[in-house]
Amino acid sequence: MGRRSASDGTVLTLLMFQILLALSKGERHGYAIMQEIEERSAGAFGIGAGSLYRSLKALVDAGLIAEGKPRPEVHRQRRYYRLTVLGRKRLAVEARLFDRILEWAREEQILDPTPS
Amino acid sequence: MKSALRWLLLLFPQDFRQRYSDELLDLLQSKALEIRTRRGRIALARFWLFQILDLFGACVLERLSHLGRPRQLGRRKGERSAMTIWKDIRYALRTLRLSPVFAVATLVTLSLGIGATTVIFSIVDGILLRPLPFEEPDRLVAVWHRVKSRNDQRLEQSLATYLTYRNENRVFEDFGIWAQTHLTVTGVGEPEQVDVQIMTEGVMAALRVQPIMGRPFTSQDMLVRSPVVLILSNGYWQSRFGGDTGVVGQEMQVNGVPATIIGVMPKGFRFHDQNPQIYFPFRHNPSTARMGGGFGFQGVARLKPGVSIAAANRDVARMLPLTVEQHPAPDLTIERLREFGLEPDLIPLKQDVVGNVGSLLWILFATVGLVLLIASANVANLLLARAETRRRDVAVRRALGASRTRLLRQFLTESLVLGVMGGGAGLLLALGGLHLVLLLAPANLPRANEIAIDPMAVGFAFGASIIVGLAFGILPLCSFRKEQLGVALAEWGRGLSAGRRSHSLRSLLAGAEVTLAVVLLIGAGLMVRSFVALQNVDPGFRDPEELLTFRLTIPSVQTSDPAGVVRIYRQLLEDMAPIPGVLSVAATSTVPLDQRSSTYATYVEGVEMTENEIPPSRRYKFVSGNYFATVGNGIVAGRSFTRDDVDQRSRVVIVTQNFAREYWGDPPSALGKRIRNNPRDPWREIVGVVGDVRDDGLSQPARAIIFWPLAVEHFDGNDLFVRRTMGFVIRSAKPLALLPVIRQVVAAAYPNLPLADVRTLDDLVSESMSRTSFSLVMLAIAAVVSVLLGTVGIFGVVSYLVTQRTRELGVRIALGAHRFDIHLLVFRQATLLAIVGISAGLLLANGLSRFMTTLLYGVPADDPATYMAAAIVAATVVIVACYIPSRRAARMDPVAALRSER
Repeated sequence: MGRRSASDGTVLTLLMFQILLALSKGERHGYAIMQEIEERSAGAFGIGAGSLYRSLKALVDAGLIAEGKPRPEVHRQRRYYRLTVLGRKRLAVEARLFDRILEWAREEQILDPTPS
Repeated sequence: MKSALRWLLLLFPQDFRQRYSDELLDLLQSKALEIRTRRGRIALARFWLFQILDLFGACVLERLSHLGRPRQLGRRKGERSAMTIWKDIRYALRTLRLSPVFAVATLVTLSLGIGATTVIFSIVDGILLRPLPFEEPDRLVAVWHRVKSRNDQRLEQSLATYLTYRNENRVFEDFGIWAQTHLTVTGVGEPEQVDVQIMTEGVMAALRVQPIMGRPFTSQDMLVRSPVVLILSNGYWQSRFGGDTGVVGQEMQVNGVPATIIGVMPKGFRFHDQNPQIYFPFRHNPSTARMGGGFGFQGVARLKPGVSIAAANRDVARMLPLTVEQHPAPDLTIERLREFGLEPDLIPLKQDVVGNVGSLLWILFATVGLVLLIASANVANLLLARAETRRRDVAVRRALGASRTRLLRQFLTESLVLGVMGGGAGLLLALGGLHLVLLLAPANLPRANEIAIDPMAVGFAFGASIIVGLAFGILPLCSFRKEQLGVALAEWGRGLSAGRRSHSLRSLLAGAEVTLAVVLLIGAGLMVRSFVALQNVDPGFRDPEELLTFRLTIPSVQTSDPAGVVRIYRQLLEDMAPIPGVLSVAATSTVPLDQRSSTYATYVEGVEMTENEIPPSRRYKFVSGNYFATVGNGIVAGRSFTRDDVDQRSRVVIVTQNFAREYWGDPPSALGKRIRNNPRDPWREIVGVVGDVRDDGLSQPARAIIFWPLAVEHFDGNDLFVRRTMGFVIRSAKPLALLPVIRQVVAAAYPNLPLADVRTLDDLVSESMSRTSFSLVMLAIAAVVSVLLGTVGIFGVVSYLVTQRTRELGVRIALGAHRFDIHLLVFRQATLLAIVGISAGLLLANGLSRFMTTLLYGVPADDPATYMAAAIVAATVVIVACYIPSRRAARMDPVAALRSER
């Protein structure tokens, strides 16, 4: 996806979209984000740490996510991230777009109409 | 790992590094720990390869995005740091260009090492590491039995076990059986014999594979009353039908019976390394199933989610008694089955497919790993030598204010650049080398079609080059210690021997090279000995290059009567014998080494059996009268078959020597003794004993074989038993030149009989030796490369030592030292290196070579002669490598030496 230029100019990759999704339930650190994405995709979507932090950096720079307060008492080195208002809006926009694309794929019988 | 990663992170722009490197490292470590504990070491290696590749990709992308927005305020420092890395790389490239000999020597060494390792890695990955190309392959199992009473011998599935397991199991999602066979296709072009996989509907269901066109088999297709259907393989569809999309619904004649094509399999579908042209349903009548016979089908199943192999084994064990209840046979009881010791033996499908090549591949991988180590040691030596000459350069730069870390980073960049360039060149070599190795590889290498230089292999090559680059980059730095940087400057022009530390480091490296070369020499030596031993084995036939072999199948439409089949064989033998050039021709149910023989339980007269005991199975072959003369197997006692034996259905057999020895001590005593394969059959008299036959491969022990006449009366419940598929062997000085004439002769008599598997017996011999010859070639190449690299390494070290001592040697010569004394002086240093290196090599080889036992034949893994020979070769190498620098020292002009700077 993501070739579409959004209002703020950031292009979302599939990984970024999944990061936003993983943060939709609340604050998470990098490791937890990785776990969540891998679990959700049943391990089909391998994530490199380099790509992950590159994406996190891009999302922070674009203002879609923000760094939370550090929690040295829990884990000194882990930084927490959360969705910003802008990020949540963007996630909804992208998800709707995805939904339409998937609908299309179903019409073309690429996907089973009733997933087993 | 952590420090290597930190170094890798240096490639990122500084702002990124400062913000994320701690967090990133922490994440990678937690994840690595999780993967190692949950999924094992292989998964961990894959994880690191993937992560390192990803880091590289991310760093390139991050840098590119920096270029996109060049002027960001407050990032000046980061930009400057980013610039220095590029500056370092450019500087490294420039210095390499200035010393082309050094650069080329290093790159060639590295690319050979990395290239070879990558080739073998891609093979190991394709065969051993990568999962099978089916959905959720971890749930696929091969369903075998094993027989406790027969040394855990493996037993396949039969119709009876299939039906019971399919209907009663609680653990399989799908279960099917299959077998490999041949059928004759007529009516589409030339008649031909095609490879066929016969299967029940459960096989494709378990694999979750669908035809690209048409429909898969259904349980209806398996019934004998249903119309005959078949599915085409993609390759056969392309070659025979030109990829015609209207092929589904067309008819073909298979073994003379019309069959409808119902589907075409996808391209690249291959199961169990079989490459059949046609998939055929296993047509059966369930009511004829009897437990106790007809084993010969392999089973494959998909376990239900969460079911372990142990649980599945328990479920099959539960069903085994049911097979007797549901498909009773006259004299088979559950108690008898229990005494027989039939047990389920399920193994992961991948293990079943890969078989026993694992040890061979890991040995090869270790071998090329050693070569890579030697190559790295050589490069490290070259770099050390270079570091020596650059001590002053470094000292000056330090004095001018370059920070220590800055200098270290520059050196590391240089070796990394070398490593990556070597890796790139190695990858190119690997692309070509893989084809070469696969050409040499044993023909029966499993999963060979799945081997390729894929992203995993590329990742491996780059991972290896980074690690190697870092390793030999750090070594020379050990010789630059803090204080030395100052000392070097002070020493300027003083001609003292520089850096004892680097000196001993270099000797250590050269010694290690000798050690590794000795290990590889011993490995190659053991393979050579095995190869020679195999060449000297008596296989039970003579001059295999003169023997042409092929197979014919007589379909039931040709003649339904066994006597008619015998007449056809007789006719063919008579037609072929007079062809000019044919020395002799014979028929045999299975050609030596073709792995197609069947075994039958064999009763020996006079050997007491308890009531329910089943005697051991023996291999049977059904042969024409002059078979032994044709293949060249000598008669040890008694006589050969005669034409009358076949025509008059005499009750006679011929056995191999080892069978005779097993029961009666020596071959002549076996004559006149009697055997049979079924208590209801008449006894057969042993009339001859022949030499043992290595029928399972030259390296395998000879199995006892019982030879029967071509046609046998009252055999296993048949009035007249004759094989419908028969092999032919023809002896001739130029066997392949005869082939067109033979085809003509066969076609003139029987136009619809295709010749299958036409080859000389020599081809079968080479195939059976391919594992040994392949390991031999690979180990020999590794050994030669390691010896060459080792020679270069030792030569470098000794030359260097001589140069260091030029002045001292000059003084000695001036004071009247003889040339011989100088030689002695130089060699004394080399001798220590050789003795330590060779002894370490012998010890290491002694520890490692036992892993090779499975590859060896006729030679123990600790064969003293081989070890001695390897030590002598290594010692010679050291002497040769020392001689040139030593001679230079001895012939030196003392005046020039004293004037020299050092």
